Amino acid sequence: MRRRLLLLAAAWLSSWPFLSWAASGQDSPAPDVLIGTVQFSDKELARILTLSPLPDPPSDPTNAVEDDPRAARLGQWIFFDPRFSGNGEVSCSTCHLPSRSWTDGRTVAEATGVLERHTMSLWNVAYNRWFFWDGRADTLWSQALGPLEDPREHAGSRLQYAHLLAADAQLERAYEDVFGALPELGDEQRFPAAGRPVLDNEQDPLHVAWESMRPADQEQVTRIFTNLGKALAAYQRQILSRSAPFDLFVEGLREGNGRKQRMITDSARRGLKLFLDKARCSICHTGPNFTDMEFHNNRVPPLEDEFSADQGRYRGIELVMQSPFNGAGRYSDDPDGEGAVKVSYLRRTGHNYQEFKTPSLRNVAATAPYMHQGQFARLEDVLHYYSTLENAMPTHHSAEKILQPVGLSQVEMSDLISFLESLTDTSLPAELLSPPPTPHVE
Amino acid sequence: MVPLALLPRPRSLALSGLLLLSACGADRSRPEGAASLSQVGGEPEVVEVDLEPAVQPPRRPSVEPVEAPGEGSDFRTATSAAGRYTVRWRPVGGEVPNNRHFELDVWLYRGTEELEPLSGARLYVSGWMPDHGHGLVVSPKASEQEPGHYLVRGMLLHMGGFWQVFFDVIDANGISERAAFELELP
Repeated sequence: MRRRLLLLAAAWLSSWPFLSWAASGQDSPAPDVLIGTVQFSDKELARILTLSPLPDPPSDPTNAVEDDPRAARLGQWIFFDPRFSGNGEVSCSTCHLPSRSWTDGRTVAEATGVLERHTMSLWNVAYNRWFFWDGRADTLWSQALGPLEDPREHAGSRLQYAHLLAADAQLERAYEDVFGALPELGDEQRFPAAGRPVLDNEQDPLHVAWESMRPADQEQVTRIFTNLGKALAAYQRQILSRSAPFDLFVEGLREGNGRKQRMITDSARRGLKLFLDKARCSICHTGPNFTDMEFHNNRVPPLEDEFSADQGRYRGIELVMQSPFNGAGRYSDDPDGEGAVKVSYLRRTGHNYQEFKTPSLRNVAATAPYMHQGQFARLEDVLHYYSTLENAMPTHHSAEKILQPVGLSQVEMSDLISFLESLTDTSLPAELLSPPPTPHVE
Repeated sequence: MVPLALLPRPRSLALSGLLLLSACGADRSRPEGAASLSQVGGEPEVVEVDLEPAVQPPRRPSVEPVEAPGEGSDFRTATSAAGRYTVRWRPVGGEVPNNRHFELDVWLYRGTEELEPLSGARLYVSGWMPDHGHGLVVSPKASEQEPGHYLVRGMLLHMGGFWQVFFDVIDANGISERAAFELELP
């Protein structure tokens, strides 16, 4: 009986005028259509179709092992292994907790020290054009290298990590399966136990140890280090969020399937309409990963006064252009081709000052707090800010003209949150959420 | 017939008393709500901070020579502000993509009537979103493929909306003029 009722309901829904729209593909404007109680214009419906599905992640030609399952397995092991840190207590998963949607719930990040920015979630990280809030890395593998040596994060060194690989038979096998034989690192004179370049302090013992090495030996160790980043990237490429209720809703629109169209609530549908129009979210949160992949100054006040001097993208551009690990550098697997395009034509202007990256909104309801210093504890706070621009920072450089208070009511904010919640995908395979049984594939 | 589009007035022209010029290539009408001329006010106020390029553009084989664009081609055409140059361009691949890097196929000519390919010019392509108050996030680079025919690499229009695209042409004598186009990126 219940099944029959459902079928009847589906038949009734499929008689709605819109349901022939998606299949017809006609260009002429159609009248507004009603989905549930929400009316969408032809133009809005066309824009909704651009938000889903999210295709497979783009290829990163700078990482030759990005789709090698053995590299992904090694990367997954390293991600959870605290031995890859100076004090043996910090792993990637210390801040990127799978149980907290790949972030940490804190305002600003804290590992061996306290950082000045919020931990970014890793959902759909493989789609990024730039990495970190300021885009100071242009590839996923080079992003991983920064925290591994940052004295406030893993606080380790590339020499330490190379020795760790050589000292653990399983790790050594996993590494050599993907990247070939490790060099002989047993000579302590040539390969000290720990060391890395410390550009801002030449007296640092790590720097002194590094500088005692022959350039060819340094090169071998740095090559191992970048390979660790490439393995980590191969793992993180799998952290995907693209099967949310919203995606089923859009599938329902395409197919004329009323059951799928009801996978999100009326409130979420109202929120979607606000997202596209009045609230103006979709100007920057665009496309199926809900980001333009670039940078904006949204004038959010800093968490504390001492953070107010954060230059954001302005400094990030300088750093990525100077980085030996960028897509055009010698550790890139495509330094002369497409892998170099992003950094080769990059431009810095005063407009970049205090710009931060537009994050994806996939799984956003699970990644609080928000903004580059976790300034806002809840989505309500984010929407209140964009609604009023209360306490917005003045800009001393050219401002985003499109950043204007959008003036949302409580009900509208609630609807927008319902929509954002419809972007939550909980289908990531459980085996990706914890360390694998071994670092190598059997 | 393509409507004539109103273009922002470069300051140098304001001084010489010239007014607005046509751009046959501006074949899309101005979107509702787009900024007026007074809002646009000529060149954007952008503080340029030149960095020494840390990297060189990727080396790639030059493009195959193609026939110069004639009547009825898919090239957009505009004359530069004082009529010194004619600029014709089209996106490689057929369409201007939203938020993806792309390349421009560009022909430069001296004059507006009897067109003579302009060889040895420097060409700078830039863009501006008057409704947003920002421009491109890239500095595209042009290279001459054959006399008058240039390939511009590294273009990126990173947001949908109304864009102005500027072609600053500097000939071998150092004389600079700008041709401007408008487009609405869906």
